[in-house]
Amino acid sequence: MTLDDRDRARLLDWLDEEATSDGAATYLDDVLATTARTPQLPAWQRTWRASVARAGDLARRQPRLAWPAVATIAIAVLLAVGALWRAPGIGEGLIAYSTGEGIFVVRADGSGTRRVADGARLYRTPWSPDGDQLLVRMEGGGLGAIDVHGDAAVDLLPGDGLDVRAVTWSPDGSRIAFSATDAGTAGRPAQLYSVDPDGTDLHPFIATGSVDGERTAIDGDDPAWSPDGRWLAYIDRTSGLWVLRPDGSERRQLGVAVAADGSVIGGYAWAPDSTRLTYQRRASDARGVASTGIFIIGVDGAAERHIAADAQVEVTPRWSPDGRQIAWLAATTEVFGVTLFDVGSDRSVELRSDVALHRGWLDWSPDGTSLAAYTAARDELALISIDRSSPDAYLSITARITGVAWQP
Amino acid sequence: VERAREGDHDAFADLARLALARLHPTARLITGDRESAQDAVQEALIRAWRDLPALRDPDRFEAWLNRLLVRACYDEIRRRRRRQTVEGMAISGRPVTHEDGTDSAAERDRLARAFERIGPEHRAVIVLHLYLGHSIREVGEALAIPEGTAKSRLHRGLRELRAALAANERVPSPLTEAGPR
Repeated sequence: MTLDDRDRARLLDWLDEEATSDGAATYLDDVLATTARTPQLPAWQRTWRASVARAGDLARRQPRLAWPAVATIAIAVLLAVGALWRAPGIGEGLIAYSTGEGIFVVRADGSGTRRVADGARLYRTPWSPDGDQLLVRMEGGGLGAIDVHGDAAVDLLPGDGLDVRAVTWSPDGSRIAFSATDAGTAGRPAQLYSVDPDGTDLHPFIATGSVDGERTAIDGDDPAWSPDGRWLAYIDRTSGLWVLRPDGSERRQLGVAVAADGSVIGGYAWAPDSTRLTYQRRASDARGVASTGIFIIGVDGAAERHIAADAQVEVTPRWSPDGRQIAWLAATTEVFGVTLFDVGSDRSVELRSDVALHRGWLDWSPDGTSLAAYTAARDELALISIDRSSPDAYLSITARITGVAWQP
Repeated sequence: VERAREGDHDAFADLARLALARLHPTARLITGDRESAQDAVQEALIRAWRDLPALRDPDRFEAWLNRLLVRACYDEIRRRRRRQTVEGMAISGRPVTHEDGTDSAAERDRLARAFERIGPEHRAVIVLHLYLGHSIREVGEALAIPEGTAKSRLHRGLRELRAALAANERVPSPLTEAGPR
Protein backbone atom coordinates (compact mmCIF):
# COMPACT_ATOMS: atom_id res chain seq x y z
CA MET A 1 0.00 0.00 0.00
CA THR A 2 1.73 3.14 -1.17
CA LEU A 3 0.67 6.76 -1.28
CA ASP A 4 -0.33 8.26 -4.55
CA ASP A 5 1.34 11.49 -5.64
CA ARG A 6 -1.38 13.74 -4.25
CA ASP A 7 -1.45 12.08 -0.84
CA ARG A 8 2.31 12.04 -0.69
CA ALA A 9 2.48 15.76 -1.48
CA ARG A 10 -0.07 16.51 1.26
CA LEU A 11 1.84 14.44 3.79
CA LEU A 12 5.14 16.10 2.85
CA ASP A 13 3.56 19.55 3.16
CA TRP A 14 2.20 18.68 6.57
CA LEU A 15 5.54 17.26 7.74
CA ASP A 16 7.32 20.45 6.68
CA GLU A 17 4.72 22.67 8.31
CA GLU A 18 4.53 20.67 11.52
CA ALA A 19 8.30 20.29 11.85
CA THR A 20 8.85 24.01 11.82
CA SER A 21 5.82 24.94 13.91
CA ASP A 22 7.97 25.58 16.99
CA GLY A 23 10.04 28.21 15.20
CA ALA A 24 13.77 28.40 15.73
CA ALA A 25 15.09 26.37 18.66
CA THR A 26 16.64 28.69 21.23
CA TYR A 27 17.94 26.28 23.85
CA LEU A 28 21.28 25.36 22.31
CA ASP A 29 23.29 27.55 24.65
CA ASP A 30 21.84 25.68 27.63
CA VAL A 31 22.77 22.36 26.03
CA LEU A 32 26.30 23.54 25.29
CA ALA A 33 26.69 24.79 28.84
CA THR A 34 25.86 21.26 29.97
CA THR A 35 28.16 19.54 27.51
CA ALA A 36 30.99 21.89 28.48
CA ARG A 37 30.74 20.47 32.01
CA THR A 38 30.35 16.85 30.81
CA PRO A 39 33.50 14.75 30.49
CA GLN A 40 33.99 12.74 27.33
CA LEU A 41 34.72 9.03 27.32
CA PRO A 42 38.17 8.27 28.70
CA ALA A 43 41.10 7.92 26.34
CA TRP A 44 41.26 4.14 26.47
CA GLN A 45 37.88 3.89 24.80
CA ARG A 46 39.10 5.76 21.76
CA THR A 47 38.99 3.41 18.88
CA TRP A 48 41.73 1.30 17.47
CA ARG A 49 40.57 2.29 14.00
CA ALA A 50 40.68 5.94 14.86
CA SER A 51 44.22 5.51 16.12
CA VAL A 52 45.21 3.89 12.87
CA ALA A 53 43.47 6.66 10.92
CA ARG A 54 45.34 9.27 12.89
CA ALA A 55 48.62 7.45 12.27
CA GLY A 56 47.78 7.32 8.57
CA ASP A 57 47.00 11.03 8.52
CA LEU A 58 50.29 11.75 10.21
CA ALA A 59 52.10 9.61 7.71
CA ARG A 60 50.47 11.42 4.79
CA ARG A 61 51.43 14.78 6.19
CA GLN A 62 54.97 13.87 7.23
CA PRO A 63 55.82 10.66 5.42
CA ARG A 64 59.55 10.72 6.02
CA LEU A 65 59.20 11.20 9.73
CA ALA A 66 56.03 9.28 10.43
CA TRP A 67 56.35 6.00 8.57
CA PRO A 68 59.43 4.79 10.46
CA ALA A 69 57.65 5.63 13.69
CA VAL A 70 54.47 3.86 12.59
CA ALA A 71 56.48 0.85 11.43
CA THR A 72 58.37 0.73 14.71
CA ILE A 73 55.16 0.85 16.71
CA ALA A 74 53.57 -1.83 14.51
CA ILE A 75 56.57 -4.15 14.95
CA ALA A 76 56.52 -3.58 18.71
CA VAL A 77 52.81 -4.41 18.85
CA LEU A 78 53.31 -7.56 16.78
CA LEU A 79 56.14 -8.70 19.01
CA ALA A 80 54.07 -8.06 22.13
CA VAL A 81 51.11 -9.96 20.75
CA GLY A 82 53.35 -12.79 19.58
CA ALA A 83 54.69 -13.21 23.10
CA LEU A 84 51.18 -13.70 24.44
CA TRP A 85 49.65 -15.67 21.58
CA ARG A 86 51.21 -19.00 20.84
CA ALA A 87 49.56 -19.89 17.54
CA PRO A 88 48.27 -17.08 15.34
CA GLY A 89 46.22 -18.00 12.32
CA ILE A 90 43.63 -20.19 13.98
CA GLY A 91 40.05 -19.56 12.80
CA GLU A 92 38.95 -16.18 11.49
CA GLY A 93 36.94 -13.13 12.50
CA LEU A 94 36.47 -11.54 15.89
CA ILE A 95 36.03 -13.15 19.26
CA ALA A 96 34.14 -11.31 21.99
CA TYR A 97 34.80 -12.00 25.63
CA SER A 98 33.74 -10.41 28.89
CA THR A 99 35.61 -9.95 32.12
CA GLY A 100 34.81 -8.08 35.29
CA GLU A 101 36.12 -5.00 33.52
CA GLY A 102 33.78 -5.08 30.54
CA ILE A 103 33.42 -6.44 27.01
CA PHE A 104 36.40 -6.89 24.71
CA VAL A 105 36.85 -8.05 21.14
CA VAL A 106 40.01 -9.59 19.73
CA ARG A 107 40.87 -10.89 16.30
CA ALA A 108 41.13 -14.65 16.07
CA ASP A 109 44.85 -14.29 15.37
CA GLY A 110 45.24 -12.64 18.78
CA SER A 111 45.73 -9.10 17.56
CA GLY A 112 43.70 -5.92 17.93
CA THR A 113 42.29 -6.41 21.41
CA ARG A 114 40.03 -3.52 22.31
CA ARG A 115 37.40 -2.78 24.92
CA VAL A 116 33.96 -2.04 23.49
CA ALA A 117 31.97 -1.61 26.72
CA ASP A 118 32.66 -0.99 30.35
CA GLY A 119 31.35 -3.10 33.20
CA ALA A 120 29.01 -5.30 31.12
CA ARG A 121 28.71 -9.07 30.59
CA LEU A 122 28.15 -11.05 27.43
CA TYR A 123 24.93 -12.92 26.96
CA ARG A 124 25.48 -16.45 25.73
CA THR A 125 24.55 -15.91 22.07
CA PRO A 126 25.28 -12.21 21.78
CA TRP A 127 26.30 -11.61 18.15
CA SER A 128 23.84 -10.21 15.65
CA PRO A 129 23.67 -12.33 12.48
CA ASP A 130 25.58 -9.66 10.54
CA GLY A 131 28.32 -9.65 13.19
CA ASP A 132 28.02 -5.93 13.80
CA GLN A 133 26.35 -5.87 17.21
CA LEU A 134 26.68 -7.54 20.58
CA LEU A 135 23.97 -7.90 23.18
CA VAL A 136 25.24 -7.46 26.71
CA ARG A 137 23.94 -7.32 30.24
CA MET A 138 24.71 -3.75 31.20
CA GLU A 139 26.24 -2.81 34.51
CA GLY A 140 22.89 -1.76 35.93
CA GLY A 141 21.12 -4.88 34.61
CA GLY A 142 19.65 -3.55 31.35
CA LEU A 143 19.78 -5.15 27.90
CA GLY A 144 22.55 -3.31 26.07
CA ALA A 145 23.40 -3.28 22.37
CA ILE A 146 26.92 -2.47 21.27
CA ASP A 147 27.92 -1.62 17.74
CA VAL A 148 31.39 -3.17 17.60
CA HIS A 149 32.37 -0.64 14.94
CA GLY A 150 32.33 2.13 17.45
CA ASP A 151 29.07 3.31 18.96
CA ALA A 152 28.70 3.20 22.72
CA ALA A 153 26.39 0.68 24.39
CA VAL A 154 22.73 1.60 24.24
CA ASP A 155 20.12 0.38 26.73
CA LEU A 156 17.38 -1.15 24.60
CA LEU A 157 14.83 -1.35 27.43
CA PRO A 158 15.32 1.70 29.63
CA GLY A 159 12.91 1.82 32.51
CA ASP A 160 10.95 -1.26 31.48
CA GLY A 161 11.77 -3.08 34.72
CA LEU A 162 12.83 -6.26 32.96
CA ASP A 163 15.85 -8.22 34.13
CA VAL A 164 16.98 -9.94 30.94
CA ARG A 165 18.47 -13.42 31.46
CA ALA A 166 19.12 -14.81 27.96
CA VAL A 167 18.86 -13.52 24.39
CA THR A 168 18.66 -14.85 20.84
CA TRP A 169 18.60 -13.04 17.49
CA SER A 170 16.26 -14.02 14.70
CA PRO A 171 18.39 -15.26 11.79
CA ASP A 172 17.46 -12.25 9.64
CA GLY A 173 18.42 -9.87 12.46
CA SER A 174 15.00 -8.23 12.55
CA ARG A 175 13.95 -9.33 16.08
CA ILE A 176 15.50 -10.25 19.38
CA ALA A 177 13.80 -12.82 21.61
CA PHE A 178 14.75 -12.89 25.26
CA SER A 179 13.77 -14.26 28.63
CA ALA A 180 13.36 -11.90 31.54
CA THR A 181 11.93 -11.55 34.97
CA ASP A 182 9.81 -8.52 35.72
CA ALA A 183 10.82 -6.39 38.69
CA GLY A 184 7.14 -5.75 39.29
CA THR A 185 6.27 -9.43 39.72
CA ALA A 186 8.93 -10.73 42.08
CA GLY A 187 9.02 -14.48 42.45
CA ARG A 188 7.48 -15.25 39.09
CA PRO A 189 9.56 -17.34 36.67
CA ALA A 190 11.15 -15.74 33.65
CA GLN A 191 8.91 -15.12 30.66
CA LEU A 192 9.68 -14.84 26.95
CA TYR A 193 9.55 -11.51 25.11
CA SER A 194 10.60 -10.13 21.75
CA VAL A 195 11.72 -6.68 20.67
CA ASP A 196 13.11 -4.97 17.60
CA PRO A 197 16.89 -4.45 17.57
CA ASP A 198 16.41 -0.74 18.25
CA GLY A 199 14.41 -1.40 21.42
CA THR A 200 10.97 -0.73 19.93
CA ASP A 201 7.94 -2.95 19.53
CA LEU A 202 8.43 -4.84 22.80
CA HIS A 203 5.94 -7.67 23.30
CA PRO A 204 5.62 -10.74 25.48
CA PHE A 205 5.78 -13.92 23.44
CA ILE A 206 2.26 -15.30 23.23
CA ALA A 207 1.48 -18.98 22.65
CA THR A 208 -1.69 -19.80 20.76
CA GLY A 209 -3.56 -22.85 21.99
CA SER A 210 -3.99 -25.56 19.36
CA VAL A 211 -7.55 -26.46 20.34
CA ASP A 212 -9.41 -23.44 21.66
CA GLY A 213 -7.22 -20.60 20.41
CA GLU A 214 -6.29 -19.66 23.96
CA ARG A 215 -3.48 -17.10 24.08
CA THR A 216 -1.04 -17.26 26.98
CA ALA A 217 2.26 -15.66 27.92
CA ILE A 218 5.10 -18.15 28.12
CA ASP A 219 7.07 -18.96 31.24
CA GLY A 220 10.46 -19.95 29.87
CA ASP A 221 14.16 -19.31 29.73
CA ASP A 222 17.14 -19.65 27.38
CA PRO A 223 15.29 -19.00 24.10
CA ALA A 224 17.07 -19.93 20.87
CA TRP A 225 15.83 -19.14 17.38
CA SER A 226 16.30 -21.99 14.89
CA PRO A 227 18.78 -21.18 12.10
CA ASP A 228 15.99 -21.20 9.51
CA GLY A 229 13.93 -18.78 11.62
CA ARG A 230 10.88 -21.07 11.68
CA TRP A 231 11.08 -22.17 15.33
CA LEU A 232 11.88 -20.78 18.74
CA ALA A 233 13.09 -23.23 21.37
CA TYR A 234 13.17 -22.56 25.09
CA ILE A 235 13.58 -24.26 28.44
CA ASP A 236 10.80 -24.49 31.01
CA ARG A 237 12.59 -25.29 34.26
CA THR A 238 9.68 -27.32 35.54
CA SER A 239 8.94 -29.34 32.44
CA GLY A 240 11.81 -29.37 29.93
CA LEU A 241 12.58 -28.41 26.35
CA TRP A 242 9.88 -26.80 24.18
CA VAL A 243 9.57 -25.39 20.67
CA LEU A 244 6.98 -23.18 19.04
CA ARG A 245 6.57 -21.12 15.89
CA PRO A 246 7.57 -17.44 16.15
CA ASP A 247 3.88 -16.54 15.74
CA GLY A 248 3.10 -18.54 18.89
CA SER A 249 1.51 -21.55 17.19
CA GLU A 250 2.43 -25.25 17.23
CA ARG A 251 3.94 -25.19 20.73
CA ARG A 252 5.08 -28.61 21.86
CA GLN A 253 7.39 -30.25 24.32
CA LEU A 254 10.33 -32.29 23.09
CA GLY A 255 11.50 -35.42 24.89
CA VAL A 256 10.67 -36.60 28.35
CA ALA A 257 9.17 -34.11 30.77
CA VAL A 258 11.84 -33.44 33.34
CA ALA A 259 9.28 -33.61 36.13
CA ALA A 260 8.76 -37.26 35.24
CA ASP A 261 12.29 -38.38 36.05
CA GLY A 262 13.64 -35.46 38.08
CA SER A 263 16.31 -34.60 35.53
CA VAL A 264 17.41 -31.15 34.43
CA ILE A 265 17.77 -30.15 30.77
CA GLY A 266 19.99 -27.33 29.61
CA GLY A 267 22.86 -26.18 27.42
CA TYR A 268 20.98 -26.99 24.25
CA ALA A 269 21.79 -25.94 20.68
CA TRP A 270 20.15 -26.18 17.25
CA ALA A 271 21.55 -28.18 14.34
CA PRO A 272 22.42 -25.87 11.41
CA ASP A 273 19.62 -27.42 9.31
CA SER A 274 17.06 -26.68 12.07
CA THR A 275 15.74 -30.26 12.07
CA ARG A 276 17.29 -31.37 15.37
CA LEU A 277 18.56 -30.11 18.69
CA THR A 278 21.23 -31.35 21.04
CA TYR A 279 21.11 -30.86 24.79
CA GLN A 280 22.50 -31.98 28.11
CA ARG A 281 20.40 -33.81 30.69
CA ARG A 282 21.48 -34.28 34.26
CA ALA A 283 19.83 -37.02 36.26
CA SER A 284 20.37 -38.82 39.55
CA ASP A 285 20.15 -42.58 39.96
CA ALA A 286 18.45 -44.38 42.82
CA ARG A 287 21.52 -43.85 45.01
CA GLY A 288 21.46 -40.15 44.33
CA VAL A 289 24.56 -40.21 42.13
CA ALA A 290 24.21 -37.56 39.42
CA SER A 291 25.38 -37.96 35.85
CA THR A 292 25.03 -35.76 32.82
CA GLY A 293 24.62 -36.95 29.25
CA ILE A 294 24.28 -35.47 25.78
CA PHE A 295 21.16 -36.15 23.69
CA ILE A 296 19.84 -35.43 20.20
CA ILE A 297 16.16 -35.04 19.37
CA GLY A 298 14.22 -34.07 16.24
CA VAL A 299 12.26 -30.83 16.21
CA ASP A 300 9.22 -33.05 15.64
CA GLY A 301 9.96 -34.73 18.98
CA ALA A 302 11.02 -38.00 17.40
CA ALA A 303 14.08 -40.16 17.99
CA GLU A 304 15.62 -38.88 21.19
CA ARG A 305 19.09 -40.43 21.37
CA HIS A 306 21.74 -40.53 24.07
CA ILE A 307 24.97 -39.91 22.17
CA ALA A 308 27.57 -39.26 24.88
CA ALA A 309 30.38 -41.72 25.53
CA ASP A 310 29.66 -41.89 29.24
CA ALA A 311 32.20 -39.59 30.74
CA GLN A 312 31.26 -38.56 34.26
CA VAL A 313 29.98 -35.18 33.23
CA GLU A 314 29.20 -33.94 29.72
CA VAL A 315 27.85 -30.46 29.14
CA THR A 316 27.43 -27.62 26.65
CA PRO A 317 26.97 -29.48 23.34
CA ARG A 318 27.47 -27.33 20.26
CA TRP A 319 26.73 -28.33 16.66
CA SER A 320 29.47 -27.59 14.10
CA PRO A 321 28.62 -25.07 11.34
CA ASP A 322 28.52 -27.85 8.72
CA GLY A 323 26.27 -30.02 10.91
CA ARG A 324 28.58 -33.02 10.78
CA GLN A 325 29.95 -32.86 14.31
CA ILE A 326 28.91 -31.99 17.83
CA ALA A 327 31.48 -30.81 20.34
CA TRP A 328 30.93 -30.74 24.08
CA LEU A 329 32.86 -30.31 27.28
CA ALA A 330 33.50 -33.58 29.06
CA ALA A 331 35.11 -34.35 32.39
CA THR A 332 36.53 -37.81 32.92
CA THR A 333 38.64 -36.63 35.83
CA GLU A 334 38.44 -33.35 37.69
CA VAL A 335 38.86 -31.14 34.65
CA PHE A 336 36.89 -30.53 31.47
CA GLY A 337 38.30 -31.32 28.07
CA VAL A 338 36.61 -31.42 24.66
CA THR A 339 34.87 -34.39 23.06
CA LEU A 340 33.96 -34.47 19.38
CA PHE A 341 31.05 -36.57 18.09
CA ASP A 342 30.72 -37.47 14.41
CA VAL A 343 27.01 -37.37 13.60
CA GLY A 344 27.33 -39.57 10.50
CA SER A 345 29.20 -42.45 12.11
CA ASP A 346 27.97 -42.05 15.71
CA ARG A 347 31.55 -42.12 16.93
CA SER A 348 32.99 -39.81 19.52
CA VAL A 349 36.61 -39.04 20.19
CA GLU A 350 38.27 -37.23 23.03
CA LEU A 351 39.67 -34.19 21.23
CA ARG A 352 41.47 -32.72 24.26
CA SER A 353 41.73 -34.12 27.74
CA ASP A 354 44.80 -32.29 28.93
CA VAL A 355 43.14 -28.88 29.07
CA ALA A 356 41.21 -27.58 32.05
CA LEU A 357 38.33 -25.61 30.57
CA HIS A 358 35.47 -23.79 32.22
CA ARG A 359 32.31 -25.87 31.87
CA GLY A 360 29.82 -23.26 30.73
CA TRP A 361 31.02 -21.80 27.43
CA LEU A 362 31.97 -23.37 24.10
CA ASP A 363 31.57 -21.85 20.63
CA TRP A 364 32.57 -22.91 17.12
CA SER A 365 34.45 -20.65 14.75
CA PRO A 366 32.29 -19.87 11.70
CA ASP A 367 34.64 -21.86 9.45
CA GLY A 368 34.39 -24.90 11.73
CA THR A 369 38.13 -25.22 12.25
CA SER A 370 38.29 -24.17 15.91
CA LEU A 371 36.44 -23.95 19.19
CA ALA A 372 36.55 -21.03 21.60
CA ALA A 373 36.38 -21.59 25.35
CA TYR A 374 38.23 -20.37 28.40
CA THR A 375 40.20 -22.05 31.11
CA ALA A 376 38.76 -23.05 34.45
CA ALA A 377 41.05 -20.56 36.16
CA ARG A 378 39.30 -17.99 33.96
CA ASP A 379 42.42 -16.16 32.97
CA GLU A 380 43.12 -17.64 29.51
CA LEU A 381 41.03 -17.52 26.36
CA ALA A 382 41.43 -20.91 24.69
CA LEU A 383 41.11 -21.61 20.97
CA ILE A 384 41.05 -25.35 20.38
CA SER A 385 41.98 -26.52 16.89
CA ILE A 386 39.78 -29.28 15.48
CA ASP A 387 42.66 -30.41 13.29
CA ARG A 388 44.96 -32.17 15.76
CA SER A 389 47.99 -31.26 13.67
CA SER A 390 47.50 -27.58 14.48
CA PRO A 391 48.48 -26.24 17.89
CA ASP A 392 45.89 -24.66 20.16
CA ALA A 393 46.12 -21.00 21.06
CA TYR A 394 45.84 -19.38 24.46
CA LEU A 395 45.55 -15.69 25.16
CA SER A 396 46.38 -14.58 28.67
CA ILE A 397 43.83 -12.16 30.10
CA THR A 398 44.59 -10.13 33.18
CA ALA A 399 41.05 -10.39 34.53
CA ARG A 400 38.52 -13.12 35.31
CA ILE A 401 36.74 -14.19 32.11
CA THR A 402 32.96 -14.53 32.27
CA GLY A 403 32.01 -15.38 28.69
CA VAL A 404 33.25 -15.90 25.14
CA ALA A 405 31.53 -15.91 21.72
CA TRP A 406 32.85 -16.11 18.17
CA GLN A 407 31.60 -13.59 15.61
CA PRO A 408 29.37 -15.32 13.03
CA VAL B 1 34.11 16.02 13.81
CA GLU B 2 37.67 14.88 14.41
CA ARG B 3 38.43 18.00 16.46
CA ALA B 4 35.30 17.50 18.55
CA ARG B 5 36.21 13.86 18.99
CA GLU B 6 39.53 14.97 20.40
CA GLY B 7 37.78 17.10 23.01
CA ASP B 8 37.51 20.47 21.25
CA HIS B 9 34.23 21.79 22.65
CA ASP B 10 34.11 24.77 20.30
CA ALA B 11 34.20 22.39 17.36
CA PHE B 12 31.36 20.41 18.91
CA ALA B 13 29.38 23.63 19.39
CA ASP B 14 29.74 24.36 15.68
CA LEU B 15 28.49 20.86 14.84
CA ALA B 16 25.57 21.22 17.22
CA ARG B 17 24.54 24.60 15.73
CA LEU B 18 24.59 23.14 12.24
CA ALA B 19 22.64 20.07 13.32
CA LEU B 20 20.02 21.80 15.46
CA ALA B 21 18.01 23.04 12.49
CA ARG B 22 17.55 19.41 11.52
CA LEU B 23 17.41 17.78 14.94
CA HIS B 24 14.61 19.77 16.54
CA PRO B 25 12.11 19.45 13.66
CA THR B 26 12.88 15.74 13.42
CA ALA B 27 12.33 15.24 17.15
CA ARG B 28 9.22 17.41 16.98
CA LEU B 29 7.70 15.10 14.39
CA ILE B 30 8.62 11.89 16.20
CA THR B 31 7.63 12.95 19.72
CA GLY B 32 4.71 15.14 18.70
CA ASP B 33 5.29 18.01 21.10
CA ARG B 34 7.73 20.82 21.65
CA GLU B 35 8.85 19.97 25.19
CA SER B 36 9.57 16.32 24.47
CA ALA B 37 11.43 17.31 21.30
CA GLN B 38 13.56 19.76 23.24
CA ASP B 39 14.36 17.15 25.91
CA ALA B 40 15.21 14.56 23.25
CA VAL B 41 17.52 16.93 21.36
CA GLN B 42 19.28 17.89 24.59
CA GLU B 43 19.74 14.27 25.56
CA ALA B 44 21.02 13.34 22.08
CA LEU B 45 23.53 16.18 22.00
CA ILE B 46 24.83 15.48 25.50
CA ARG B 47 25.27 11.81 24.64
CA ALA B 48 26.91 12.77 21.35
CA TRP B 49 29.48 14.90 23.14
CA ARG B 50 30.12 12.29 25.81
CA ASP B 51 30.40 9.31 23.44
CA LEU B 52 32.04 11.05 20.48
CA PRO B 53 35.49 9.56 21.22
CA ALA B 54 33.99 6.12 20.60
CA LEU B 55 32.79 7.06 17.09
CA ARG B 56 35.20 5.34 14.75
CA ASP B 57 34.34 6.89 11.42
CA PRO B 58 33.83 10.68 11.36
CA ASP B 59 31.91 10.29 8.08
CA ARG B 60 29.20 8.48 10.04
CA PHE B 61 28.64 11.37 12.41
CA GLU B 62 25.32 12.46 10.94
CA ALA B 63 23.87 8.94 10.84
CA TRP B 64 25.16 8.29 14.34
CA LEU B 65 23.64 11.52 15.65
CA ASN B 66 20.34 10.63 14.01
CA ARG B 67 20.44 7.30 15.81
CA LEU B 68 21.07 8.98 19.15
CA LEU B 69 18.22 11.41 18.48
CA VAL B 70 15.71 8.71 17.56
CA ARG B 71 16.61 6.71 20.67
CA ALA B 72 16.26 9.84 22.79
CA CYS B 73 12.83 10.42 21.22
CA TYR B 74 11.77 6.86 22.09
CA ASP B 75 12.95 7.41 25.66
CA GLU B 76 11.00 10.66 25.90
CA ILE B 77 7.86 9.01 24.59
CA ARG B 78 8.27 6.21 27.14
CA ARG B 79 8.75 8.72 29.93
CA ARG B 80 5.72 10.67 28.80
CA ARG B 81 3.60 7.52 28.74
CA ARG B 82 4.71 6.63 32.25
CA ARG B 83 3.92 10.12 33.49
CA GLN B 84 0.51 9.92 31.92
CA THR B 85 -0.07 6.48 33.43
CA VAL B 86 0.94 7.68 36.87
CA GLU B 87 -1.31 10.67 36.61
CA GLY B 88 -4.18 8.51 35.44
CA MET B 89 -4.54 10.40 32.21
CA ALA B 90 -5.54 8.87 28.94
CA ILE B 91 -3.20 9.45 26.05
CA SER B 92 -5.30 11.73 23.97
CA GLY B 93 -4.94 13.25 20.60
CA ARG B 94 -4.72 16.99 20.24
CA PRO B 95 -8.02 18.86 20.22
CA VAL B 96 -9.64 19.56 16.93
CA THR B 97 -9.47 23.31 16.50
CA HIS B 98 -10.38 24.47 13.08
CA GLU B 99 -9.54 28.02 13.99
CA ASP B 100 -9.51 29.36 10.50
CA GLY B 101 -12.44 27.18 9.52
CA THR B 102 -10.80 26.10 6.30
CA ASP B 103 -10.49 22.68 4.77
CA SER B 104 -6.71 22.93 4.97
CA ALA B 105 -6.81 23.52 8.71
CA ALA B 106 -9.10 20.55 9.17
CA GLU B 107 -6.83 18.47 7.02
CA ARG B 108 -3.80 19.46 9.08
CA ASP B 109 -5.64 18.42 12.22
CA ARG B 110 -6.59 15.10 10.73
CA LEU B 111 -3.02 14.41 9.71
CA ALA B 112 -1.64 15.50 13.07
CA ARG B 113 -4.03 13.32 15.05
CA ALA B 114 -3.45 10.34 12.78
CA PHE B 115 0.31 10.80 13.01
CA GLU B 116 0.06 10.78 16.80
CA ARG B 117 -1.82 7.50 16.74
CA ILE B 118 0.78 5.45 14.88
CA GLY B 119 3.69 3.97 16.81
CA PRO B 120 6.86 6.01 17.40
CA GLU B 121 8.99 3.52 15.48
CA HIS B 122 6.75 4.01 12.46
CA ARG B 123 6.79 7.78 12.87
CA ALA B 124 10.59 7.66 12.99
CA VAL B 125 10.86 5.77 9.69
CA ILE B 126 8.39 8.06 7.96
CA VAL B 127 10.15 11.18 9.25
CA LEU B 128 13.63 9.99 8.31
CA HIS B 129 12.54 8.84 4.88
CA LEU B 130 9.97 11.42 3.83
CA TYR B 131 10.99 14.50 5.84
CA LEU B 132 14.79 14.15 5.93
CA GLY B 133 14.91 12.39 2.57
CA HIS B 134 17.07 9.49 3.70
CA SER B 135 17.17 6.36 1.58
CA ILE B 136 15.83 3.15 3.08
CA ARG B 137 19.41 1.98 3.59
CA GLU B 138 20.25 5.18 5.45
CA VAL B 139 17.10 4.85 7.54
CA GLY B 140 18.12 1.33 8.50
CA GLU B 141 21.56 2.55 9.42
CA ALA B 142 20.18 5.41 11.51
CA LEU B 143 17.80 3.12 13.37
CA ALA B 144 20.22 0.18 13.68
CA ILE B 145 17.79 -2.13 11.93
CA PRO B 146 18.19 -4.19 8.75
CA GLU B 147 17.25 -2.48 5.49
CA GLY B 148 14.40 -4.96 4.99
CA THR B 149 12.99 -4.11 8.39
CA ALA B 150 13.17 -0.40 7.61
CA LYS B 151 11.30 -0.99 4.37
CA SER B 152 8.59 -3.09 5.97
CA ARG B 153 8.31 -0.62 8.87
CA LEU B 154 7.75 2.22 6.39
CA HIS B 155 5.12 0.15 4.63
CA ARG B 156 3.37 -0.67 7.91
CA GLY B 157 3.69 2.92 9.09
CA LEU B 158 1.97 4.32 6.03
CA ARG B 159 -0.69 1.64 6.28
CA GLU B 160 -1.29 2.51 9.94
CA LEU B 161 -1.39 6.17 9.07
CA ARG B 162 -4.11 5.57 6.54
CA ALA B 163 -5.99 3.37 9.01
CA ALA B 164 -5.66 6.02 11.71
CA LEU B 165 -7.00 8.65 9.36
CA ALA B 166 -9.91 6.45 8.49
CA ALA B 167 -10.62 5.71 12.16
CA ASN B 168 -10.35 9.33 13.25
CA GLU B 169 -12.55 11.02 10.77
CA ARG B 170 -16.07 10.87 9.54
CA VAL B 171 -15.15 12.86 6.50
CA PRO B 172 -12.96 11.24 3.85
CA SER B 173 -9.30 11.54 4.77
CA PRO B 174 -6.81 13.14 2.42
CA LEU B 175 -4.94 9.86 2.21
CA THR B 176 -7.89 7.63 1.46
CA GLU B 177 -9.94 9.55 -1.02
CA ALA B 178 -8.81 9.31 -4.59
CA GLY B 179 -7.82 12.75 -5.84
CA PRO B 180 -7.99 14.05 -9.36
CA ARG B 181 -5.17 12.85 -11.55
